[in-house]
Amino acid sequence: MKRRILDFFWGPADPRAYALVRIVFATTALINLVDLWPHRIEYFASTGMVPLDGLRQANAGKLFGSVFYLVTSETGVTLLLVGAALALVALGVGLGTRVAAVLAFVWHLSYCHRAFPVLHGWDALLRSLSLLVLVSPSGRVWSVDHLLRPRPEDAGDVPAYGLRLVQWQLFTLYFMTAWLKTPDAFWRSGQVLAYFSISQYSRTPNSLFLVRHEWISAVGTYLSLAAEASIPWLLWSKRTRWLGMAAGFGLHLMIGTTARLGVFSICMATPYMAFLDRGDIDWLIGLGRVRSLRDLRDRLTPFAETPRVSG
Amino acid sequence: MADGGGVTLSPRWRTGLKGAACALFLGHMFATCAQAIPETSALRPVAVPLRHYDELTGLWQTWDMFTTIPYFHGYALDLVVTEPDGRIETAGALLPGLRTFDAHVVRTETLFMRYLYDPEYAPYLHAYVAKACGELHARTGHGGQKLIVRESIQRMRWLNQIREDGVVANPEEHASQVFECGG
Repeated sequence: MKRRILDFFWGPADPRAYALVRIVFATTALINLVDLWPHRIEYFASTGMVPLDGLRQANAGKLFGSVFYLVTSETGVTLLLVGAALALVALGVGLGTRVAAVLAFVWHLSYCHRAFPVLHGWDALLRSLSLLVLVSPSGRVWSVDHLLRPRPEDAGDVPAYGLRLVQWQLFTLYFMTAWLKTPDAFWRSGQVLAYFSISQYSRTPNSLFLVRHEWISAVGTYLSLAAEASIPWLLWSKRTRWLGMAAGFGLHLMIGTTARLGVFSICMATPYMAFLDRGDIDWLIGLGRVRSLRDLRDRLTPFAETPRVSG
Repeated sequence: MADGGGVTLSPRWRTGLKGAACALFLGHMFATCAQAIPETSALRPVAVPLRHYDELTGLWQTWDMFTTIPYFHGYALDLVVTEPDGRIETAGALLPGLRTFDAHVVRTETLFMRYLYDPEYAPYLHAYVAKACGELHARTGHGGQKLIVRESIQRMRWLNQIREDGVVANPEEHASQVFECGG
Protein backbone atom coordinates (compact mmCIF):
# COMPACT_ATOMS: atom_id res chain seq x y z
CA MET A 1 0.00 0.00 0.00
CA LYS A 2 2.78 2.44 1.00
CA ARG A 3 4.62 1.67 -2.23
CA ARG A 4 1.48 2.29 -4.27
CA ILE A 5 0.90 5.67 -2.64
CA LEU A 6 4.55 6.64 -3.19
CA ASP A 7 4.32 5.57 -6.83
CA PHE A 8 1.04 7.40 -7.29
CA PHE A 9 2.59 10.74 -6.30
CA TRP A 10 6.28 10.19 -7.06
CA GLY A 11 6.05 7.99 -10.13
CA PRO A 12 7.51 9.38 -13.37
CA ALA A 13 5.65 11.90 -15.48
CA ASP A 14 6.42 13.67 -18.73
CA PRO A 15 7.70 17.20 -18.00
CA ARG A 16 5.85 18.43 -21.09
CA ALA A 17 2.54 17.75 -19.30
CA TYR A 18 3.63 20.25 -16.62
CA ALA A 19 4.67 22.67 -19.34
CA LEU A 20 1.22 22.39 -20.92
CA VAL A 21 -0.50 22.92 -17.56
CA ARG A 22 1.69 25.97 -16.92
CA ILE A 23 1.22 27.49 -20.39
CA VAL A 24 -2.53 26.93 -20.55
CA PHE A 25 -2.96 28.14 -16.96
CA ALA A 26 -0.99 31.34 -17.64
CA THR A 27 -2.94 31.98 -20.84
CA THR A 28 -6.36 31.50 -19.23
CA ALA A 29 -5.35 33.52 -16.17
CA LEU A 30 -4.26 36.32 -18.50
CA ILE A 31 -7.62 36.20 -20.30
CA ASN A 32 -9.34 36.45 -16.92
CA LEU A 33 -7.18 39.44 -16.03
CA VAL A 34 -8.06 41.13 -19.33
CA ASP A 35 -11.72 40.49 -18.52
CA LEU A 36 -11.23 42.19 -15.13
CA TRP A 37 -9.25 45.10 -16.56
CA PRO A 38 -12.15 47.45 -17.51
CA HIS A 39 -13.58 47.04 -13.99
CA ARG A 40 -10.35 47.23 -12.01
CA ILE A 41 -11.19 50.54 -10.32
CA GLU A 42 -14.75 49.42 -9.48
CA TYR A 43 -13.55 46.21 -7.84
CA PHE A 44 -10.10 46.92 -6.40
CA ALA A 45 -9.63 50.64 -5.73
CA SER A 46 -10.69 52.46 -2.58
CA THR A 47 -13.02 54.58 -4.72
CA GLY A 48 -14.80 51.49 -6.05
CA MET A 49 -17.78 49.38 -5.05
CA VAL A 50 -16.08 46.92 -2.70
CA PRO A 51 -15.26 49.06 0.33
CA LEU A 52 -12.42 47.87 2.53
CA ASP A 53 -14.52 48.65 5.65
CA GLY A 54 -17.15 46.14 4.57
CA LEU A 55 -14.49 43.64 3.58
CA ARG A 56 -12.82 43.81 6.99
CA GLN A 57 -16.11 43.33 8.84
CA ALA A 58 -17.32 40.47 6.65
CA ASN A 59 -14.00 38.62 6.70
CA ALA A 60 -13.09 39.14 10.35
CA GLY A 61 -11.26 36.08 11.69
CA LYS A 62 -10.36 34.76 8.25
CA LEU A 63 -6.73 34.46 7.17
CA PHE A 64 -7.17 36.51 4.04
CA GLY A 65 -4.37 38.64 2.68
CA SER A 66 -4.10 40.86 -0.37
CA VAL A 67 -1.66 43.29 -1.90
CA PHE A 68 -4.76 45.37 -2.65
CA TYR A 69 -5.16 46.04 1.08
CA LEU A 70 -1.99 48.11 0.78
CA VAL A 71 -2.38 49.48 -2.73
CA THR A 72 -5.75 51.24 -2.93
CA SER A 73 -5.26 54.16 -5.31
CA GLU A 74 -6.56 53.97 -8.87
CA THR A 75 -3.07 54.37 -10.32
CA GLY A 76 -1.66 51.79 -7.92
CA VAL A 77 -4.36 49.28 -8.86
CA THR A 78 -3.68 49.82 -12.56
CA LEU A 79 0.06 49.29 -12.05
CA LEU A 80 -0.57 46.13 -10.03
CA LEU A 81 -2.68 44.66 -12.81
CA VAL A 82 -0.01 45.51 -15.34
CA GLY A 83 2.56 43.79 -13.11
CA ALA A 84 0.32 40.73 -12.74
CA ALA A 85 -0.16 40.57 -16.51
CA LEU A 86 3.61 40.66 -17.06
CA ALA A 87 4.08 37.91 -14.47
CA LEU A 88 1.49 35.74 -16.25
CA VAL A 89 3.18 36.30 -19.61
CA ALA A 90 6.53 35.34 -18.03
CA LEU A 91 4.94 32.25 -16.51
CA GLY A 92 3.43 31.26 -19.84
CA VAL A 93 6.66 31.55 -21.81
CA GLY A 94 8.72 30.17 -18.93
CA LEU A 95 10.97 33.14 -18.23
CA GLY A 96 12.02 33.29 -14.57
CA THR A 97 9.35 30.63 -14.19
CA ARG A 98 9.45 30.06 -10.45
CA VAL A 99 9.38 33.77 -9.58
CA ALA A 100 6.57 34.27 -12.09
CA ALA A 101 4.64 31.41 -10.46
CA VAL A 102 5.01 33.05 -7.04
CA LEU A 103 3.72 36.35 -8.46
CA ALA A 104 0.83 34.59 -10.22
CA PHE A 105 -0.16 32.94 -6.93
CA VAL A 106 0.03 36.27 -5.08
CA TRP A 107 -2.07 37.92 -7.81
CA HIS A 108 -4.82 35.31 -7.58
CA LEU A 109 -4.94 35.36 -3.78
CA SER A 110 -4.88 39.16 -3.78
CA TYR A 111 -7.65 39.86 -6.23
CA CYS A 112 -9.88 37.12 -4.82
CA HIS A 113 -9.46 38.30 -1.25
CA ARG A 114 -9.99 41.93 -2.26
CA ALA A 115 -12.98 41.59 -4.57
CA PHE A 116 -14.72 38.73 -2.79
CA PRO A 117 -18.30 39.75 -3.84
CA VAL A 118 -17.60 39.54 -7.59
CA LEU A 119 -16.09 36.07 -7.61
CA HIS A 120 -17.35 33.09 -9.56
CA GLY A 121 -16.36 29.46 -9.85
CA TRP A 122 -13.59 30.06 -12.36
CA ASP A 123 -11.83 32.39 -9.91
CA ALA A 124 -11.70 29.55 -7.39
CA LEU A 125 -10.32 27.22 -10.04
CA LEU A 126 -7.61 29.68 -11.11
CA ARG A 127 -6.69 30.38 -7.49
CA SER A 128 -6.39 26.70 -6.66
CA LEU A 129 -4.39 26.00 -9.82
CA SER A 130 -2.06 28.92 -9.15
CA LEU A 131 -0.94 27.17 -5.95
CA LEU A 132 -0.52 23.83 -7.71
CA VAL A 133 1.50 25.38 -10.55
CA LEU A 134 3.71 27.02 -7.91
CA VAL A 135 4.53 23.78 -6.07
CA SER A 136 4.78 21.56 -9.16
CA PRO A 137 7.74 20.91 -11.46
CA SER A 138 7.80 23.82 -13.86
CA GLY A 139 7.93 21.99 -17.18
CA ARG A 140 11.21 23.70 -17.96
CA VAL A 141 11.58 21.62 -21.11
CA TRP A 142 9.25 24.03 -22.90
CA SER A 143 10.40 27.41 -21.65
CA VAL A 144 12.54 30.40 -22.45
CA ASP A 145 14.60 29.50 -19.38
CA HIS A 146 15.48 26.22 -21.12
CA LEU A 147 16.37 27.99 -24.35
CA LEU A 148 18.64 30.42 -22.51
CA ARG A 149 20.21 27.94 -20.08
CA PRO A 150 19.48 24.35 -21.12
CA ARG A 151 20.08 21.65 -18.51
CA PRO A 152 20.45 17.95 -19.32
CA GLU A 153 17.71 17.02 -16.86
CA ASP A 154 15.11 19.37 -18.40
CA ALA A 155 13.70 16.66 -20.66
CA GLY A 156 13.91 13.92 -18.01
CA ASP A 157 10.96 12.48 -16.15
CA VAL A 158 9.67 14.40 -13.15
CA PRO A 159 7.43 13.33 -10.22
CA ALA A 160 3.73 13.10 -10.97
CA TYR A 161 2.43 14.68 -7.73
CA GLY A 162 1.53 18.06 -9.27
CA LEU A 163 -0.46 16.43 -12.05
CA ARG A 164 -2.24 14.21 -9.49
CA LEU A 165 -3.29 17.25 -7.45
CA VAL A 166 -4.59 19.06 -10.54
CA GLN A 167 -6.44 15.90 -11.59
CA TRP A 168 -8.00 15.74 -8.13
CA GLN A 169 -9.10 19.36 -8.40
CA LEU A 170 -10.89 18.58 -11.66
CA PHE A 171 -12.46 15.47 -10.15
CA THR A 172 -13.70 17.43 -7.12
CA LEU A 173 -15.10 20.21 -9.30
CA TYR A 174 -17.15 17.94 -11.53
CA PHE A 175 -18.20 15.57 -8.76
CA MET A 176 -19.45 18.43 -6.58
CA THR A 177 -21.30 20.19 -9.35
CA ALA A 178 -23.05 16.96 -10.41
CA TRP A 179 -23.81 16.20 -6.75
CA LEU A 180 -25.41 19.60 -6.26
CA LYS A 181 -27.32 19.69 -9.55
CA THR A 182 -28.78 16.19 -9.58
CA PRO A 183 -31.43 16.73 -6.85
CA ASP A 184 -32.74 19.90 -8.51
CA ALA A 185 -36.22 19.60 -10.07
CA PHE A 186 -35.28 21.57 -13.20
CA TRP A 187 -32.16 19.52 -13.90
CA ARG A 188 -34.25 16.37 -13.43
CA SER A 189 -37.02 17.59 -15.72
CA GLY A 190 -34.51 18.56 -18.40
CA GLN A 191 -35.73 22.16 -18.53
CA VAL A 192 -32.51 23.86 -17.43
CA LEU A 193 -31.20 24.62 -20.91
CA ALA A 194 -34.55 26.07 -22.01
CA TYR A 195 -34.69 28.42 -19.02
CA PHE A 196 -31.01 29.24 -19.28
CA SER A 197 -31.41 30.15 -22.96
CA ILE A 198 -33.82 32.97 -22.09
CA SER A 199 -32.06 34.15 -18.94
CA GLN A 200 -29.87 37.19 -18.47
CA TYR A 201 -26.81 34.93 -18.79
CA SER A 202 -27.71 33.83 -22.31
CA ARG A 203 -26.15 35.41 -25.39
CA THR A 204 -29.57 35.19 -27.09
CA PRO A 205 -32.13 35.75 -24.30
CA ASN A 206 -34.90 36.58 -26.75
CA SER A 207 -34.66 33.35 -28.73
CA LEU A 208 -37.48 30.93 -27.85
CA PHE A 209 -36.05 28.00 -29.81
CA LEU A 210 -35.42 25.77 -26.79
CA VAL A 211 -38.67 26.87 -25.16
CA ARG A 212 -40.61 25.75 -28.23
CA HIS A 213 -38.52 22.56 -28.66
CA GLU A 214 -38.26 21.47 -25.07
CA TRP A 215 -37.13 17.96 -25.99
CA ILE A 216 -33.84 19.43 -27.27
CA SER A 217 -33.43 21.16 -23.92
CA ALA A 218 -34.06 17.85 -22.14
CA VAL A 219 -31.48 15.99 -24.22
CA GLY A 220 -28.95 18.80 -23.71
CA THR A 221 -29.61 19.04 -19.99
CA TYR A 222 -29.21 15.31 -19.41
CA LEU A 223 -26.10 15.17 -21.60
CA SER A 224 -24.55 18.05 -19.62
CA LEU A 225 -25.25 16.27 -16.34
CA ALA A 226 -23.94 12.96 -17.68
CA ALA A 227 -20.80 14.68 -18.98
CA GLU A 228 -20.07 16.38 -15.65
CA ALA A 229 -20.55 13.12 -13.76
CA SER A 230 -18.35 11.07 -16.08
CA ILE A 231 -15.57 13.34 -17.38
CA PRO A 232 -13.00 12.66 -14.60
CA TRP A 233 -13.46 8.90 -14.97
CA LEU A 234 -13.25 9.05 -18.75
CA LEU A 235 -10.08 11.15 -18.58
CA TRP A 236 -8.38 8.76 -16.18
CA SER A 237 -8.31 5.78 -18.53
CA LYS A 238 -6.18 6.01 -21.67
CA ARG A 239 -8.80 4.07 -23.61
CA THR A 240 -11.61 6.60 -22.89
CA ARG A 241 -9.53 9.76 -22.54
CA TRP A 242 -10.41 11.03 -26.01
CA LEU A 243 -14.08 10.69 -25.06
CA GLY A 244 -13.51 12.60 -21.80
CA MET A 245 -11.67 15.34 -23.69
CA ALA A 246 -14.40 15.52 -26.33
CA ALA A 247 -17.16 15.60 -23.70
CA GLY A 248 -15.37 18.25 -21.63
CA PHE A 249 -14.39 20.53 -24.46
CA GLY A 250 -17.79 20.03 -26.10
CA LEU A 251 -19.57 20.95 -22.89
CA HIS A 252 -17.49 24.06 -22.30
CA LEU A 253 -17.60 25.08 -25.94
CA MET A 254 -21.39 24.94 -25.72
CA ILE A 255 -21.39 27.02 -22.52
CA GLY A 256 -18.90 29.50 -23.95
CA THR A 257 -20.82 30.05 -27.17
CA THR A 258 -24.34 30.19 -25.72
CA ALA A 259 -23.75 31.89 -22.37
CA ARG A 260 -22.06 35.11 -21.31
CA LEU A 261 -19.59 32.98 -19.37
CA GLY A 262 -16.84 32.61 -21.93
CA VAL A 263 -14.06 33.16 -19.38
CA PHE A 264 -15.35 30.24 -17.31
CA SER A 265 -15.19 27.89 -20.28
CA ILE A 266 -11.69 29.03 -21.20
CA CYS A 267 -10.43 28.64 -17.62
CA MET A 268 -11.64 25.05 -17.54
CA ALA A 269 -9.05 24.00 -20.14
CA THR A 270 -6.06 23.89 -17.76
CA PRO A 271 -6.86 20.85 -15.59
CA TYR A 272 -7.50 18.72 -18.68
CA MET A 273 -3.81 19.13 -19.57
CA ALA A 274 -2.87 17.24 -16.38
CA PHE A 275 -4.35 14.04 -17.81
CA LEU A 276 -2.12 13.98 -20.89
CA ASP A 277 0.68 11.41 -20.83
CA ARG A 278 3.71 11.05 -23.05
CA GLY A 279 1.79 9.21 -25.76
CA ASP A 280 -0.95 11.84 -25.85
CA ILE A 281 1.53 14.70 -26.08
CA ASP A 282 3.52 12.97 -28.84
CA TRP A 283 0.22 12.42 -30.65
CA LEU A 284 -0.75 16.09 -30.29
CA ILE A 285 2.65 17.21 -31.54
CA GLY A 286 2.20 14.85 -34.49
CA LEU A 287 -1.21 16.34 -35.13
CA GLY A 288 0.46 19.71 -35.52
CA ARG A 289 2.54 18.26 -38.36
CA VAL A 290 -0.42 16.94 -40.33
CA ARG A 291 -0.22 18.03 -43.96
CA SER A 292 -2.98 15.98 -45.59
CA LEU A 293 -6.26 14.22 -44.84
CA ARG A 294 -4.46 10.88 -45.03
CA ASP A 295 -1.97 12.07 -42.38
CA LEU A 296 -4.89 13.12 -40.25
CA ARG A 297 -6.60 9.73 -40.57
CA ASP A 298 -3.37 7.94 -39.65
CA ARG A 299 -2.96 10.18 -36.63
CA LEU A 300 -6.52 9.83 -35.39
CA THR A 301 -6.58 6.04 -35.43
CA PRO A 302 -3.88 5.11 -32.89
CA PHE A 303 -5.04 7.69 -30.33
CA ALA A 304 -8.15 5.70 -29.57
CA GLU A 305 -6.54 2.29 -29.83
CA THR A 306 -3.41 2.37 -27.69
CA PRO A 307 -4.43 1.16 -24.21
CA ARG A 308 -2.43 2.90 -21.50
CA VAL A 309 -3.04 4.05 -17.96
CA SER A 310 -2.82 7.72 -17.02
CA GLY A 311 0.50 9.04 -15.79
CA MET B 1 14.42 11.50 -12.44
CA ALA B 2 14.88 15.25 -12.17
CA ASP B 3 13.21 15.60 -8.83
CA GLY B 4 15.88 16.80 -6.46
CA GLY B 5 18.38 19.53 -5.84
CA GLY B 6 22.08 19.18 -5.17
CA VAL B 7 21.83 17.57 -1.69
CA THR B 8 22.41 13.80 -1.59
CA LEU B 9 20.23 11.88 0.86
CA SER B 10 20.31 8.28 1.91
CA PRO B 11 17.54 6.10 0.38
CA ARG B 12 15.86 5.80 3.78
CA TRP B 13 15.73 9.60 4.17
CA ARG B 14 14.51 10.04 0.63
CA THR B 15 11.69 7.56 1.17
CA GLY B 16 10.84 9.17 4.50
CA LEU B 17 10.66 12.65 3.00
CA LYS B 18 8.65 11.43 0.05
CA GLY B 19 6.29 9.71 2.48
CA ALA B 20 5.89 12.94 4.45
CA ALA B 21 5.17 14.78 1.22
CA CYS B 22 2.56 12.15 0.34
CA ALA B 23 0.85 12.86 3.66
CA LEU B 24 0.77 16.55 2.72
CA PHE B 25 -0.62 15.78 -0.73
CA LEU B 26 -3.34 13.56 0.73
CA GLY B 27 -4.14 16.28 3.27
CA HIS B 28 -4.42 18.82 0.46
CA MET B 29 -6.74 16.52 -1.49
CA PHE B 30 -8.85 16.01 1.60
CA ALA B 31 -9.00 19.77 2.22
CA THR B 32 -10.08 20.32 -1.39
CA CYS B 33 -13.22 18.23 -0.98
CA ALA B 34 -13.93 18.35 2.79
CA GLN B 35 -15.08 21.98 2.55
CA ALA B 36 -17.94 20.80 0.33
CA ILE B 37 -19.49 18.71 3.11
CA PRO B 38 -22.83 20.39 3.88
CA GLU B 39 -23.13 22.42 7.09
CA THR B 40 -25.92 20.10 8.24
CA SER B 41 -23.90 16.90 7.84
CA ALA B 42 -22.62 15.02 10.91
CA LEU B 43 -19.26 14.88 9.09
CA ARG B 44 -18.97 18.66 8.76
CA PRO B 45 -16.69 19.01 11.85
CA VAL B 46 -13.88 17.26 9.93
CA ALA B 47 -13.69 20.27 7.61
CA VAL B 48 -13.40 22.86 10.39
CA PRO B 49 -9.69 22.39 11.23
CA LEU B 50 -8.85 22.84 7.55
CA ARG B 51 -10.56 26.22 7.26
CA HIS B 52 -7.44 28.30 7.82
CA TYR B 53 -5.44 26.07 5.47
CA ASP B 54 -8.04 26.73 2.77
CA GLU B 55 -7.87 30.47 3.43
CA LEU B 56 -4.07 30.70 3.43
CA THR B 57 -3.59 28.61 0.30
CA GLY B 58 -6.57 30.05 -1.59
CA LEU B 59 -8.10 26.60 -1.78
CA TRP B 60 -11.57 27.69 -0.64
CA GLN B 61 -14.15 26.93 -3.27
CA THR B 62 -17.78 26.11 -3.94
CA TRP B 63 -19.22 24.59 -7.08
CA ASP B 64 -22.81 25.70 -6.77
CA MET B 65 -23.05 27.74 -9.98
CA PHE B 66 -26.32 27.04 -11.77
CA THR B 67 -27.43 24.27 -9.46
CA THR B 68 -30.89 25.41 -10.48
CA ILE B 69 -32.29 27.68 -13.20
CA PRO B 70 -31.65 31.43 -13.29
CA TYR B 71 -34.85 33.36 -12.55
CA PHE B 72 -34.26 36.61 -14.42
CA HIS B 73 -34.57 37.42 -18.11
CA GLY B 74 -33.14 40.85 -17.50
CA TYR B 75 -31.63 42.74 -14.61
CA ALA B 76 -30.92 46.44 -14.12
CA LEU B 77 -30.33 48.59 -11.12
CA ASP B 78 -30.03 52.23 -10.11
CA LEU B 79 -30.15 54.47 -7.07
CA VAL B 80 -33.26 56.46 -6.14
CA VAL B 81 -32.17 59.59 -4.31
CA THR B 82 -34.61 61.70 -2.27
CA GLU B 83 -33.13 65.13 -1.62
CA PRO B 84 -33.74 66.87 1.73
CA ASP B 85 -36.25 69.19 -0.03
CA GLY B 86 -38.29 66.17 -1.25
CA ARG B 87 -37.12 66.12 -4.86
CA ILE B 88 -36.60 62.57 -6.17
CA GLU B 89 -33.82 61.84 -8.62
CA THR B 90 -32.07 58.76 -9.92
CA ALA B 91 -28.36 58.07 -10.10
CA GLY B 92 -26.21 55.30 -11.53
CA ALA B 93 -25.13 52.57 -9.11
CA LEU B 94 -21.56 52.08 -10.30
CA LEU B 95 -18.75 53.57 -8.24
CA PRO B 96 -16.72 55.59 -8.69
CA GLY B 97 -18.73 58.26 -10.48
CA LEU B 98 -22.32 57.03 -9.90
CA ARG B 99 -22.24 55.65 -13.43
CA THR B 100 -25.05 53.72 -15.14
CA PHE B 101 -25.22 50.01 -14.40
CA ASP B 102 -24.09 47.81 -17.30
CA ALA B 103 -26.35 44.77 -17.49
CA HIS B 104 -23.79 42.84 -19.53
CA VAL B 105 -21.18 42.53 -16.79
CA VAL B 106 -21.93 39.29 -14.96
CA ARG B 107 -19.54 40.01 -12.09
CA THR B 108 -21.13 43.37 -11.24
CA GLU B 109 -24.59 41.85 -11.37
CA THR B 110 -23.41 39.12 -9.00
CA LEU B 111 -21.97 41.75 -6.67
CA PHE B 112 -25.28 43.59 -6.30
CA MET B 113 -27.33 40.41 -5.95
CA ARG B 114 -25.05 39.32 -3.11
CA TYR B 115 -25.16 42.77 -1.50
CA LEU B 116 -28.95 42.90 -1.63
CA TYR B 117 -29.95 39.30 -0.88
CA ASP B 118 -27.23 37.58 1.14
CA PRO B 119 -27.15 38.64 4.82
CA GLU B 120 -23.43 37.78 4.96
CA TYR B 121 -22.81 40.71 2.62
CA ALA B 122 -24.65 43.28 4.77
CA PRO B 123 -21.38 44.97 5.87
CA TYR B 124 -20.46 45.45 2.21
CA LEU B 125 -23.87 46.92 1.39
CA HIS B 126 -23.68 49.46 4.21
CA ALA B 127 -20.14 50.43 3.30
CA TYR B 128 -21.15 50.72 -0.38
CA VAL B 129 -24.07 53.00 0.51
CA ALA B 130 -21.76 55.17 2.64
CA LYS B 131 -19.47 55.62 -0.36
CA ALA B 132 -22.41 56.39 -2.66
CA CYS B 133 -23.56 59.01 -0.14
CA GLY B 134 -20.06 60.47 -0.17
CA GLU B 135 -20.19 60.79 -3.96
CA LEU B 136 -23.64 62.40 -3.79
CA HIS B 137 -22.31 64.90 -1.25
CA ALA B 138 -19.37 65.71 -3.48
CA ARG B 139 -21.68 66.13 -6.48
CA THR B 140 -24.42 68.24 -4.85
CA GLY B 141 -22.44 69.99 -2.16
CA HIS B 142 -24.72 68.78 0.60
CA GLY B 143 -25.76 65.62 2.40
CA GLY B 144 -28.97 64.49 4.06
CA GLN B 145 -30.33 62.49 1.12
CA LYS B 146 -32.33 59.30 1.47
CA LEU B 147 -31.16 56.55 -0.82
CA ILE B 148 -32.75 53.36 -2.14
CA VAL B 149 -31.08 50.72 -4.32
CA ARG B 150 -33.74 49.89 -6.92
CA GLU B 151 -33.67 46.72 -9.00
CA SER B 152 -35.61 46.52 -12.26
CA ILE B 153 -36.08 42.86 -12.97
CA GLN B 154 -37.59 40.87 -15.80
CA ARG B 155 -38.69 37.70 -13.99
CA MET B 156 -38.95 34.69 -16.27
CA ARG B 157 -42.32 33.00 -16.63
CA TRP B 158 -42.82 29.21 -16.75
CA LEU B 159 -42.13 27.51 -20.08
CA ASN B 160 -45.76 26.53 -20.69
CA GLN B 161 -46.86 30.15 -20.11
CA ILE B 162 -44.24 31.44 -22.54
CA ARG B 163 -45.33 28.94 -25.19
CA GLU B 164 -48.93 30.13 -24.84
CA ASP B 165 -48.39 33.83 -25.52
CA GLY B 166 -44.69 34.33 -26.29
CA VAL B 167 -44.18 36.67 -23.34
CA VAL B 168 -40.89 35.68 -21.74
CA ALA B 169 -40.92 37.65 -18.49
CA ASN B 170 -42.86 39.88 -16.17
CA PRO B 171 -41.36 43.19 -15.04
CA GLU B 172 -40.80 43.72 -11.33
CA GLU B 173 -39.25 46.48 -9.27
CA HIS B 174 -37.60 45.80 -5.96
CA ALA B 175 -36.53 48.53 -3.57
CA SER B 176 -33.97 48.05 -0.84
CA GLN B 177 -34.43 49.48 2.62
CA VAL B 178 -34.12 53.26 2.85
CA PHE B 179 -30.62 54.43 3.73
CA GLU B 180 -30.06 57.88 5.20
CA CYS B 181 -27.00 59.83 4.12
CA GLY B 182 -25.50 61.87 6.92
CA GLY B 183 -25.39 65.64 6.75
